[in-house]
Amino acid sequence: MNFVPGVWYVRILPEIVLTVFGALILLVEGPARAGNRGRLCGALALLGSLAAFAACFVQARYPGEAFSGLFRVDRLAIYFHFLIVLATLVVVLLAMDYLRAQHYERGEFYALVLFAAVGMGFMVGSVELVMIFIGLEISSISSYILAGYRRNAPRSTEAALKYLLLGSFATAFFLYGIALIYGGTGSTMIDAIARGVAGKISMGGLTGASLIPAAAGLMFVGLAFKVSAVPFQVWTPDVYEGAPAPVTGLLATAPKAAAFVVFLRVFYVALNSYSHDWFWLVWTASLLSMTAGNLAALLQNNIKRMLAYSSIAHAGYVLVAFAALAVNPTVLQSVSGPAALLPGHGVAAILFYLAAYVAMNLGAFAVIAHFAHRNERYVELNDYAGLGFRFPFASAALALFLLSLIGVPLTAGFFGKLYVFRAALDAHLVGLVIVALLNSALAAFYYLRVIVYMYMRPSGQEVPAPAPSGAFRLVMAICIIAVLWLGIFPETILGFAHAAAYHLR
Amino acid sequence: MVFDHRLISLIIATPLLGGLALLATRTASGARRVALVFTLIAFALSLRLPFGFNSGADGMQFVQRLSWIPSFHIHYYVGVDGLSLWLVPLTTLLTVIGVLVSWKSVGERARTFYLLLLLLDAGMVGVFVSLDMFLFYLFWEASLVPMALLIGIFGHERRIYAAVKFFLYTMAGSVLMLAGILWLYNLTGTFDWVRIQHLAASGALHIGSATAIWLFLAFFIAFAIKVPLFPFHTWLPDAHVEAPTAGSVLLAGVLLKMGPYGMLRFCLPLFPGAARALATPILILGLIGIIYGGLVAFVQPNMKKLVAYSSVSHMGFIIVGVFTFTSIGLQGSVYQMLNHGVSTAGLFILVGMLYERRHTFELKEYGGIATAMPVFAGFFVLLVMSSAGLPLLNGFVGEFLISLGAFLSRHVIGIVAISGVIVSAIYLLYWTKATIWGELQNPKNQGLKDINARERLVLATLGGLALAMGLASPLFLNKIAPSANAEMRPFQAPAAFALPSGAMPRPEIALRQARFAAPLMAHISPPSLPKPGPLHPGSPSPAARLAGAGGEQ
Repeated sequence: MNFVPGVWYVRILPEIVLTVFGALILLVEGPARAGNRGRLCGALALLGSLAAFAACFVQARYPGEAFSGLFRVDRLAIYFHFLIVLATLVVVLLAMDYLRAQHYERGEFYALVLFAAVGMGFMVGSVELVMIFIGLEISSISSYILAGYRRNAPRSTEAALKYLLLGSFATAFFLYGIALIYGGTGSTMIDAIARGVAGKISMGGLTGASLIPAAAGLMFVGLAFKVSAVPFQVWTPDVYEGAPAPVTGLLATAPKAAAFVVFLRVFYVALNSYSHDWFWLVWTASLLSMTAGNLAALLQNNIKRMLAYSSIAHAGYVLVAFAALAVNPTVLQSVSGPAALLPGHGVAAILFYLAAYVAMNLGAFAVIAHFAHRNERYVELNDYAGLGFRFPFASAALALFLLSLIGVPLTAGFFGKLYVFRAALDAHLVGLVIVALLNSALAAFYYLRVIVYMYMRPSGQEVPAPAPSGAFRLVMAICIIAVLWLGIFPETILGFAHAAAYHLR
Repeated sequence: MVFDHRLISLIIATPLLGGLALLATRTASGARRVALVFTLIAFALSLRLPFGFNSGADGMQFVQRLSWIPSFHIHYYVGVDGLSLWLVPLTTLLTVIGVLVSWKSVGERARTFYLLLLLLDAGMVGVFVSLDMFLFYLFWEASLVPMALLIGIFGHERRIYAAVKFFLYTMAGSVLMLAGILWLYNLTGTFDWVRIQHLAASGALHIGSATAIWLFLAFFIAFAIKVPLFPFHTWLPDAHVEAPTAGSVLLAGVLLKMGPYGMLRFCLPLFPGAARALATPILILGLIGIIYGGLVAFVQPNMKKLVAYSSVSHMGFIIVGVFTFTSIGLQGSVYQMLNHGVSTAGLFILVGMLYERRHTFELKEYGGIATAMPVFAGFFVLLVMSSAGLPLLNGFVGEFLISLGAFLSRHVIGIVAISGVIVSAIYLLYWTKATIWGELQNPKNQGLKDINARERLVLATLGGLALAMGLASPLFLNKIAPSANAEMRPFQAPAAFALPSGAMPRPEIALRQARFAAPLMAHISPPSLPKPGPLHPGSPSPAARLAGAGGEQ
């Protein structure tokens, strides 16, 4: 059938817009005058991400499948398209300031950011494993280059190489998992796999069912790498430290959210009937990620490294909710009392948490990028001593994001944790919740340390910081509003998250 | 009044608006003026609460309830009853005083200072008026952060250590409390305190006695840290010594009250069985706190530490009053919360004024200050006497009622508590002697300036309040009593509750209570007391008032 309905293209409109603008940037960069090349490309990237944001609204008007069921615009996809495009917008805004300060103004930086967003868009929208894999690769390869963008800094190059080597391994694992799934079920479509494994199809002599646990394990490795869950986290601190600060902000947020969506589609939808197999994988990874991440973060003096370990811990918190999803629904139905929840609430908790996580982490990295200065000289804890009164606006914003990362009430992080822990409690994972609570208390210590340095220590050296530009103010406004909105009126987002969860399976 | 159902929200919103207005100020003097104006408005608004309060009723008044997060059944739900009524004006008044005492001492970063003070104001009022347990938790945390920052940014040498210690102690407690709140939510499906309390009172809240004990402890430990009850008190001296004067005033005056208030609001009505089962160890800890705090205060070379440990001692009284499970002791506790707020805030201000002049808290640096600062010395003696519980002053009424309650429940408790009064008189008089009286020997104290008009205003307000609360206690108590009686209802009908064996109150206590307390109660809180008139200047002695309070009208 050669006929391709036009609405299929509308359903991937954000991706198309981002690709077009990315390509346009690359085309314009060559002929543009050297003087305003960076500014021109930045403006184009900004325009592109704004257009993609508008395209998300269009996309949301046309839910349904595209390209013969490879791509699906459901509420989950819509939710994460908005999240990813907004994160991209923030990163582009940040990069405009940052690249100028670093004298690295180049068009391809913006193009790569947009392409990474395209990859993530396909990761969250695809319901077929090979398409998901392609999305994963597009976003990964863009981020490998972006991580090494500070060419003159050895750490940046080291980060890129490490990320490339380990990342390639991880995606290879994921691909191998896809192959086994295909071998076991005869399909790469998420829905078909779900039906297949539910019916325990056997193929020929080898029972297909026996391949599934192995496939689940392999895909788990690939995705655990992407979300930096222990024991696949070793790349995280080095890459976060080496990569340019706006790129770290991007790496820490949007691709992780996208990878968690893949996690949902693969494990919660496709391999749901194998939940007793992957439950312990998730449970162990969650426990280890929270604990190892927080303990290591306690020892860090470099703020980017500290946030890298903190992001490992946060991946652990999200995995708590995944572990809750794996608990058999029949057990859940036996929970009495008015507070018993449907398993879909665990999905909603994950969705909410990821939105909160993206908002607060992007905000934190934005402030770090703002203070970093030439060659990222000022990213140590000591450099932050006394900043609170010299740069009240940026410091107060960073304090807010850190409080949200702790999980202080009235910030996004609080409700994120609350929903996740409640989902886990309803699944009777009391032990895991206790570990998570203890971890939250532990984490408060290192986040607060930054606030203590900013406000209570006398400033040692005069860290020069640029006056906040319009772009920076806009970034702060977006992140602050998001963190407070999710913290004070969580119902708005939560309602949509519930709907997304309800229609997922 | 027309805005009565929004009054509490207005009281909370005023300081927050003030915070916004502060952002527009440019200078330190502008910042402190804005802060003063908004805290004064909040205080004026909060004065409407006691005037509009119906003394005959024991339920919640000035109630406002809005849906906030429906999927979690979380409401914005506020109101006051007799237990919380007076704590709100106390909070707003002490915030005004906090602004005034920082008038000269905080110059640098004044905007941040007053912003934190205003946020603290809103948070503290919120704690006392929240009727949704989730909201309560939010305000609880919201009052923690500004206080920690006030100590950490504006404190003295070891401020960071003190701020972190304060934060971690309280945080540990509040995590426990959050766990308790969520557990209770899982059991009942609501955060609505009024509904849970109704369930508990009607016996429809089916909690096993073991679960009840765990839940009780989850709340109790959080509150005990805040009080602070004896083994949890170590954060308090550090926090007080390092805090700026306004921080100490609000910490001692209001934040500590959140502890006993929380016990009255949550621990007793929701888990009466567990409260009774654990009353003896808690009473013992409270009594240890009274004596231990007093003895440690006596040996302190640092004045601020002395006052801080005196707080440990006085707060022990309040706990004892609560856990005697007598209405009279409970009223004494609520009253003592207000007294302690007034007196100890005053003591910290006195210490702060000396520090502003001499920059030291060391007791040995002072002596004979009365010669140099006679007006100051007058207020000093007045406030010290109020703290020591001299008859005619406020402290006496609270300590008298608590001791009465203690004797009603068990003689030994009363005896130990009374001896605590003696200990407090010893260290307070010793302190007065060492600071105020005697020869002025230290030459550095020769030229000290006496207090100025602003300082006189602050001290006169607190001193006058101490006197008024000592003379006209029924005005306050008749609004507290109905709620206190309601609070004690589950403890007077033990048969309706399944208690762990051995935790039953001895029948003779109940009898004695009935025989002795009932007529006294009737005097203090006639069931249908009309609105009290204004306070007459020539009031009779407090003892006469206690005996014939109803006759005032």
